[in-house]
Amino acid sequence: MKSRFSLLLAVLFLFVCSVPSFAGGGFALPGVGSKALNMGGAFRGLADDWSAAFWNPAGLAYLPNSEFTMNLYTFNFRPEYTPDFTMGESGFNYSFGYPDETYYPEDRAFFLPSFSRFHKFVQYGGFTGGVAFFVPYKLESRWNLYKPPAGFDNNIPYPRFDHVTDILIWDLHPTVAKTFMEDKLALGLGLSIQRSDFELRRTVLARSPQGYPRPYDFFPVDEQMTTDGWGFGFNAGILYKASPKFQFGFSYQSPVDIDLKGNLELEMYLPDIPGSEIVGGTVYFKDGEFETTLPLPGEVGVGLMWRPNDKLTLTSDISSVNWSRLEFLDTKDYTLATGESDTLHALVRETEFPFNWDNIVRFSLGAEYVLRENLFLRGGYFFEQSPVPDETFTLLIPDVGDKHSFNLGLSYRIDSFEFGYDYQLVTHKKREVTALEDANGDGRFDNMPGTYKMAFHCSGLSFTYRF
Amino acid sequence: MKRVLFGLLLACMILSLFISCGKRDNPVRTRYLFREVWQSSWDFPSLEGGIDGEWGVKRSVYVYLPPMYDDELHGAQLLNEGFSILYLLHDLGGDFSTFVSVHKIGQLADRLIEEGEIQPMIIVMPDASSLRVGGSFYTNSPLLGNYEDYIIKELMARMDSSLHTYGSKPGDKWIPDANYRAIGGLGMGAYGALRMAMDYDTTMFTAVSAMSPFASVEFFLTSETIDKVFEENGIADDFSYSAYKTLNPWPDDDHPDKTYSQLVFAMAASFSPRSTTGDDTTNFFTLDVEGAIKHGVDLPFDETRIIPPGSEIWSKWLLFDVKTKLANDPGAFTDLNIYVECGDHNEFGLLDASRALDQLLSLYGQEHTYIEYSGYPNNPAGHDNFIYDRLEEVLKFHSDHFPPPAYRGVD
Repeated sequence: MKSRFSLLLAVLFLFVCSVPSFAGGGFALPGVGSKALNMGGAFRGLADDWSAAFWNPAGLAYLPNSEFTMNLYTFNFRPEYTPDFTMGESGFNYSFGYPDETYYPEDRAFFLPSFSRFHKFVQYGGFTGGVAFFVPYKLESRWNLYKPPAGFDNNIPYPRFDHVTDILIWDLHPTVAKTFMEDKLALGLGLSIQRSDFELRRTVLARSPQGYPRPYDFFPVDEQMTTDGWGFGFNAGILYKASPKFQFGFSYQSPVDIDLKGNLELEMYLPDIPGSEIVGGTVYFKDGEFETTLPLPGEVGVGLMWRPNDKLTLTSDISSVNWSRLEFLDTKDYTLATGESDTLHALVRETEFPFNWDNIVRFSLGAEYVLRENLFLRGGYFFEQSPVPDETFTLLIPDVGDKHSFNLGLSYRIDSFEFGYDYQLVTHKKREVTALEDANGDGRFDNMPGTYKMAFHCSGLSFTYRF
Repeated sequence: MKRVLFGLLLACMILSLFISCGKRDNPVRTRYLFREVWQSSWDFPSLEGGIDGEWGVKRSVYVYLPPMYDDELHGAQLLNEGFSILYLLHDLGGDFSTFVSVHKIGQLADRLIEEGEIQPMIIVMPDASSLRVGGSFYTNSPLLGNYEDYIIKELMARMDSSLHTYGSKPGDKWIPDANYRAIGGLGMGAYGALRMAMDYDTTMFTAVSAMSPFASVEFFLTSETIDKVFEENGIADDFSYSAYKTLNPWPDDDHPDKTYSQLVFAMAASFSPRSTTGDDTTNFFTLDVEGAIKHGVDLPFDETRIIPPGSEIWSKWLLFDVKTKLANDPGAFTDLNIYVECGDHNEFGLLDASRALDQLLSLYGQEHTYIEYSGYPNNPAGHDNFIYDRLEEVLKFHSDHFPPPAYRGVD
């Protein structure tokens, strides 16, 4: 029995590592649920509260009671960027409107709620059903960064916030779970109904049409994409209780394609070039509606739980996220108002947002200690890669580098109520992007060279009522 | 013990909240004070008699004044006070406005002064363009006018009497201080700056800067350049004398780009001009007719597209040639501070000319700064596509070689 179980574990581990990467990274949040976050997201093998709907829906089958939960999290993204936006040969570097000072986005805290309602249908023998609402993806930042060279800002000031990210994807997640084999095995299945608001704004440097001299070799284009849409997916999980002290879980989240529909605005700022046909100090404006697909990753993971004594629980997860689905957002089919053929228009059409992301792996550890009968202390850690390659790395999605997350939290039970607090610090390895690159060969730069640092803070309050 | 641990944990969590919410200050996006460059125009008698006629006499000048320049001190000629002044000469095809409107020297100087990268200085940008041949090469030419006199004698005197420059007054006469004056330029202007700096050295200037200078006609007027002149005029494969005589510097609908032709004719108008009442001789090209007098130029090459050995016309060109002048007079620059630079993909052969000048200066032990700069991928450093960036280095060079600032209010 033991050898079969080990074999099964080994197969699952290999499967997880071989599946093109998934759970976090990019613009995904580190996870959901106070307890799961406390334990570093090492929750697939435990999955004993509402957030199992996200981590491993099979765990819902083992909820001791029906429950209602509310969580409120506050997030702080703390990226910083020191541009090295130059090109040159033999030591001669030319700047492109990004001063080499350290910049920060507008510092703001974001509040996100999540809640759930799951019911234990005792009369159906271990069947649990309900719905959870949570936010798996969120990123918001606004940067005041680009400084037009002399000659470009003579009449119309450049937008104050020239690089903006505003991504919010929430998930309404009806889920069911049931136990089998005398409660040794549980299976769970959830439906992801995802709604996305997706906005990106960036400055693109378009090579000037007739080889104008510096500083007119590139015209800045303020590109703003505002979209929203819906997508659907599912997740499924298995939880197996090998013994009172040992259990393991496996979960799969399907990829989700969000059908986005929205607007693309392109404003090219034109310099005053004597003798040229360009009307200096003006803005060449285009906008149009378009439809595209945002391919969100799937995720597969396996987790273990070991309870060496009555007070201590240890968990460990490994998961993989296939961010390589996200190659680019195509906006080529957008319809323009006017002017299909002129020179300037050629610079602002055929737009696409390249990503070319990579698959990633995440490794998590967690622990829970029963401090007193009704007081639980938890801690966790995870390591996760960044899916964003240098060739498309910009500050719009500052998943800077390999991440180390340190989590702490506690909860306190009073009768049917449980209150919790958690704190998470995610530190990123510094990234240095050394060269400007045109990832998709459209003549525009798709990354932003320089030095990036990033820290992420998250703290949350949770409330659970069991009945 | 458990309570202490619990308390510590709570304290850490609360502290972390405060740390994570702290606001950070971004660098201030500076809007540098931009003072409109001052433009004025005057009649300059030195330019009378040229083939550009009345148009050539009245010339505009752009003057950059630093932000701390006090307009009320215009021309006050205060002793022991005044700003350094740089004369910046434009290229062929440009005019007085090119550095201001294309290369944005006003914003550049404002920023560098604001950041403390350069000391405040006045920058004067005169007009030496020619209606007929594009540019004057800053020589005294009976065909175009006396451009050297216009710069050295008339313009500088007018600037010293109009602006708050630095000088002394040992008697009744105001004498500008050459230590506070420099000259520089681009292409044709760099040639003019180098030649005038050699002719007038430290009696007039403390430093000279040359961006992609026409430093040697030998490296410019090569067989490739001569072929391009013929190509621009639509006679690439015609070696006849009659075809040769159709060469001219004026673009038309069939031949819109005559860059090389303009350069060659402008040089000829400056180095080998001639007026005649007789028939056109082999190398003579008429540019203007005044009654029975034909005003024109002698080109050093003939219809076979070579410069004949022993050519008198070529000898005239070499009299004006910077490299040749330096070879004949190794001390021509005396104690001047010299800056020479050129892009490594200069399309007029000026990189080789600049290297030759650099080698000659080194051979004669003349201290100087020489820079070959490159561009970036898909944008090689040609003749004038990186001037916006290079001007920053030129201004820093001059700032470093002017004496410390001496104007009212300076520490």
